[in-house]
Amino acid sequence: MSYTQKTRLLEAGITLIVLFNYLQAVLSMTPEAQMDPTLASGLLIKLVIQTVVMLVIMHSILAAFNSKYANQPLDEREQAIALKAKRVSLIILQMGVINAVFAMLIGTVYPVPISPLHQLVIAALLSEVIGTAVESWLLYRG
Amino acid sequence: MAKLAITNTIRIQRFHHNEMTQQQLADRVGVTRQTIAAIESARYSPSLEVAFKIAAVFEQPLENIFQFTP
Repeated sequence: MSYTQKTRLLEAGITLIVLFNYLQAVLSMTPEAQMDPTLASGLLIKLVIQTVVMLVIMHSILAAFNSKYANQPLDEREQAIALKAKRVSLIILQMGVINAVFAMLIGTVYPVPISPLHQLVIAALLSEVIGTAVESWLLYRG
Repeated sequence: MAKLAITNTIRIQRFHHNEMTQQQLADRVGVTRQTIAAIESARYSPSLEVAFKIAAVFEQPLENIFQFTP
């Protein structure tokens, strides 16, 4: 397994954990609390700190054990695979944005279980998880 | 996955070069071992630059390493 593959797999895992924690926090809130900007920004700050800390720790440990490959840039095949994975990730993100806009439009008439802001964050995290998972799969397949 | 139309003799060339490993070739070309494995098994077509670098490692013209079979 290449260094890039290990990195992407762990990134997918970390983002999945962050997504799970975020979903749990959002679903435990009342609809009114979800719309509260103070609570939402607090949750977002927590999400960013959690992600950055976990990613820094993961990259440090990986780099310590694979010092030869840690500083090497992606080669041409890995770059091509990253582009393909980004395309998939972008589609998920676009679907999330469309869904959030739709939820915002109908939100005035019908109550939606998750506020559009949180839907956007969830879409961003989900697109990252799926993007890194696709990249890992493509790197594994060859 | 469907094989590409470009075949190669990298495995044979490695054998003739003192059983050079994929990692040794990858280090000399400047790509990962996985990329060499993918090129060798015709699952990935390298760029011209990498193809020329591989040919240069084996001191062979490009057409001895890569063949196009339509």
